[in-house]
Amino acid sequence: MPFDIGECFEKHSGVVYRRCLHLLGNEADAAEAVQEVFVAAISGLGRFRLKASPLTWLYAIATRHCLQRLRNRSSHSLKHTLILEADSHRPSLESNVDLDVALKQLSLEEMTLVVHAYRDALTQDEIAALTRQSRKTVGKKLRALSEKLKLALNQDDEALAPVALIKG
Amino acid sequence: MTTPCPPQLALEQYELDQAPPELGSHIESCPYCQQRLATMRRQALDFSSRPAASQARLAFTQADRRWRRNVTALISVPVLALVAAGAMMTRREIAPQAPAIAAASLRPSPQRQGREVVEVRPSTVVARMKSVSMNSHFIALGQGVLTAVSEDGAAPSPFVLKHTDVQIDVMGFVSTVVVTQEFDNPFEQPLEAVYVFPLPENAGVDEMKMIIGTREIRATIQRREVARRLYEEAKSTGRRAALLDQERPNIFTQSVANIEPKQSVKITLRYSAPLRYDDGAYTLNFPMTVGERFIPGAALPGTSQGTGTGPDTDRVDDASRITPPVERTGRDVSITVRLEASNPIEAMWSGSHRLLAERTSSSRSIITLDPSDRIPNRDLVLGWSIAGAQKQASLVSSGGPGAAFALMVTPEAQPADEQVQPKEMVCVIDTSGSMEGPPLDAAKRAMTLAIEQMNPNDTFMLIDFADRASTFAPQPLANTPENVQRALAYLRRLPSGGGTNQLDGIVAALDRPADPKRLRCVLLMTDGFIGNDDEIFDAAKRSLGRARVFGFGIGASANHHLLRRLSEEGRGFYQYIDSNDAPGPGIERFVRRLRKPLLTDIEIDWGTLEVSDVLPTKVPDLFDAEPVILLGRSKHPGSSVVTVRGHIGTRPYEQRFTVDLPEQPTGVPGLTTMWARAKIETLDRGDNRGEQAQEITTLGLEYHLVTAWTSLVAVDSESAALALDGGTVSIAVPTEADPDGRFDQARQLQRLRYNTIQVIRGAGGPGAVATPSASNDGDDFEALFSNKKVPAAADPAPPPVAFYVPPSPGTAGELHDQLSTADIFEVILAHKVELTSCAQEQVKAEPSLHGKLVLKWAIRTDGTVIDVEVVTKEFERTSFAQCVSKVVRQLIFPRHRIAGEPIQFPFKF
Repeated sequence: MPFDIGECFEKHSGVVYRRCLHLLGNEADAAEAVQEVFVAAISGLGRFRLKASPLTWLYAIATRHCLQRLRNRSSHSLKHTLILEADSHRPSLESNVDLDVALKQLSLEEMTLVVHAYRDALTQDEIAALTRQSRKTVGKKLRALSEKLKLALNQDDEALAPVALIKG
Repeated sequence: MTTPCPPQLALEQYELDQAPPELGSHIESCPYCQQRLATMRRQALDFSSRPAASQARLAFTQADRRWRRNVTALISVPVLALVAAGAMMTRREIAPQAPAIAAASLRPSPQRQGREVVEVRPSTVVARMKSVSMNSHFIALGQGVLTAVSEDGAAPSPFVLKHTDVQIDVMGFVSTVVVTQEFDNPFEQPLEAVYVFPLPENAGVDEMKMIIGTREIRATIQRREVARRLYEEAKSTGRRAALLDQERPNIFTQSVANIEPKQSVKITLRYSAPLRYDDGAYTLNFPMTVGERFIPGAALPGTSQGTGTGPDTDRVDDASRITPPVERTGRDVSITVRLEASNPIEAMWSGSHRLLAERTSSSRSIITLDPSDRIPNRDLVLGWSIAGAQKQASLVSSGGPGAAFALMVTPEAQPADEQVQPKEMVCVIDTSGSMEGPPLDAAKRAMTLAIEQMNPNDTFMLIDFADRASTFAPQPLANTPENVQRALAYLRRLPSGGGTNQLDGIVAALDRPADPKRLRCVLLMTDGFIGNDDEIFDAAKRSLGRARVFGFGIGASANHHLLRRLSEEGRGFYQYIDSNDAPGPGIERFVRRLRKPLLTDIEIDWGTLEVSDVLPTKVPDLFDAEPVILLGRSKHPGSSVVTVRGHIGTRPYEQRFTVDLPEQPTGVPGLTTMWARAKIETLDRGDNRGEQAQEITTLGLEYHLVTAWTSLVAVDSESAALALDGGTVSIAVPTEADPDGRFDQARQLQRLRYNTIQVIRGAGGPGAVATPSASNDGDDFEALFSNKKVPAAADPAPPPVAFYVPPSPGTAGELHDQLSTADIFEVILAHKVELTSCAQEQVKAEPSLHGKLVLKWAIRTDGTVIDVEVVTKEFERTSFAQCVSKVVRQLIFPRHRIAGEPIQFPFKF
């Protein structure tokens, strides 16, 4: 039975669009990104994962893709996407600048982790399932990441502790 | 302890039915989660309405295709190497085909310069292909081979329709289509082919030509019975003849008599139809399949017969939309679309076939079928969108005095929510037994979405009906989250079962005092089989008032006829989803359109233009990204400011634009035909049968259009009469399987009088087969064709297969003693088009020449013309006189007993 590519699109385009809209915060950009996400999702061996677990695979690809897009934008929007739910966190002006710089230096994988942990408020288990890593690895990486951010910001701000660390 | 609300990902899983049950129960009871879900659905709706959605779909498909190609190549390399190695080791010759195939798959595909491939949009293609075994052949549904089997057991011959060529010219939003069908006789005797085929519902057929060898005979329009008589006469005297009858607005019967053995005859048809413009895109649809259920009615040309004893007889008039395809044209079809858009073409797609498009400029393209996709087993659907904003109003005219014109009005950019007029949504849902399972689920889903997407000021009520109607609340409720939650919970719990008492549902919906501040919108969701269409329609019409009705048909057996009529009368729109389709996109589209009634109560002020017969008479409301097309006639050319008035929400709306009706003919094809066709359609819906038949006949004759009362007939008067041996040809016609696979057995052999091949394609199975005496109260087919002769009952045909028995030669029609002036006038009027073109040529050649040309001719008792003579000698040498004489020589008048005096007839020019 061949994989019905059209059906897959009909079923999941909404998921991808919503994910992109959530991260990019802009309808036009999100609509544009959907196409790229789907094309990326079937390149290489991704096709097999798409067939096996379309939702998680598309979710992961969409996250990665949008972050890549965001990295090319201003660091302000990056910060907004990665950590902040509208105005929930207002550090001092100085640390604000630091946060921009710190986030800009993260690798794509680290950024993905940040989004899942802070923005999506997923638990370590959920992150592990989504990124296909063991829970232990995820925990380790998150702790390292948290340290890195704290170090970069030179502060011990509990508000920056990701949900995954608390729940993990 | 209450569980916390789940993250977004979990909600996505819930939407896809992948969430664990404990999560489901939380989400269903949590208002916050419900709100999030509603937002998510709205976002998905927004996305699917964007052009980016179709672009993404296309890109995704193309990427998939590339991937497959690469994988094939990757796999081929080692296979090829293995084959080669094997050959080397065994030193045996490799079968020549094997490496050739492998090599072929490695070769890059040939570059088509300036060409692009229009891929099929996967979402719109429905997987309907099934295989059936017939006559010991295994054939796929829709790809059947029509073979004719003689009684003596000789090898089957391929059927007489050899090839179909379709040339489609698209200009703006008008399409002109020329269909050429080549018929071929594989037998040793001359025979007749009768062939039923579909055309778009709004197609105006105005020309038919018969081409035999190098000779071309143009058909004339005649009253249906006259045309039939001429055809039967020609058939019985062994002359070649062709006849085109309309059975339903979208179903035609083509008969070709006396195809000589081993000879082929080409029949060319021309029709014009407006394109569909919706949701920012044009759609061209060329039907290639006749719906299975329709056939019992359509396969009996010229006879008045019912369409079956089964319960679904009274809804077959739309069956071609609701049944799976059966093969249309034998094996081969070629299609060329010459597309000339008003703006550059942005994107093109096909919902049915793989196409090759050659762009000659940014706004022009020539599109052909991909050679690999030429089997006519499904309708061709070609869509395109054009760049730049659609003009708010555009007018095309045929030019000159008495011109036909078409005005397309597209509303301005979508208004913000606060401008939308508050609505009173009355959701009527059918919960009868037939809706059980997926149809009711789809209806509930659509209803849920519609309720969730209401604007804050809207009110709503929910009516469900089966045996009787009941309501969720007796009065409309305000759109508050609590009310919505309660209504949705009520909706989810609705069980199915009982009969369909639609009348109760509709009356309950409409028969309440109107809310002056809100526009009542009735959403009717049903698969609606009911027998009393007219009763419901009348009841609804009485209590309609300003209310709008939106029909949402579900399932293959939906009563389109009723729902469409109600929606049109209620100035809403009608949409249906096939049970084969995934319901998602259809539901989304319905709700999206519903959310945005852009312009209501539309009136058009034509300024100083003198226009008449503007159709449709009741201008429908405009909805999301959908224009209204008005067709009309103008008395004089000229320009004027035209004003469109209406309401956007509660705010009055007015838009002015200048239109120009040119004095010279503009060469826009098909406008007059389209107008006449629309006029006929309007008349057809009227109440007075007798009068409308008369008017439609007059319109048909005047505009050279095939209608229910007029047919095109071509008789080759010069062909030598063929020897008729009156033998019998029996043929077995393999047909396709029913959508549900109910009757996939081969058709019985049929005995037919004369040398007639009767093609009964996809005739219904047991219980759905026609008998002439079958009662079919709800169907207008009987009424339409009640003036037709009932087939001679002499032939003890094996029931239950329906077939057509031509009348005996010589008995067809009653002979008049003498021709009346009216008879003569009618025949001449039927050739108005040719005569007008003679006059136009004359005006071109000598613009100053005007006058009255009198011709004299005699008519034989068989109706043919002799001794044509020009009486006004001064015009004898003009091209007009020669042209008119030629037309007159080819006229065929009704047969009569006593030859009259030669007649004189004046032609003014």
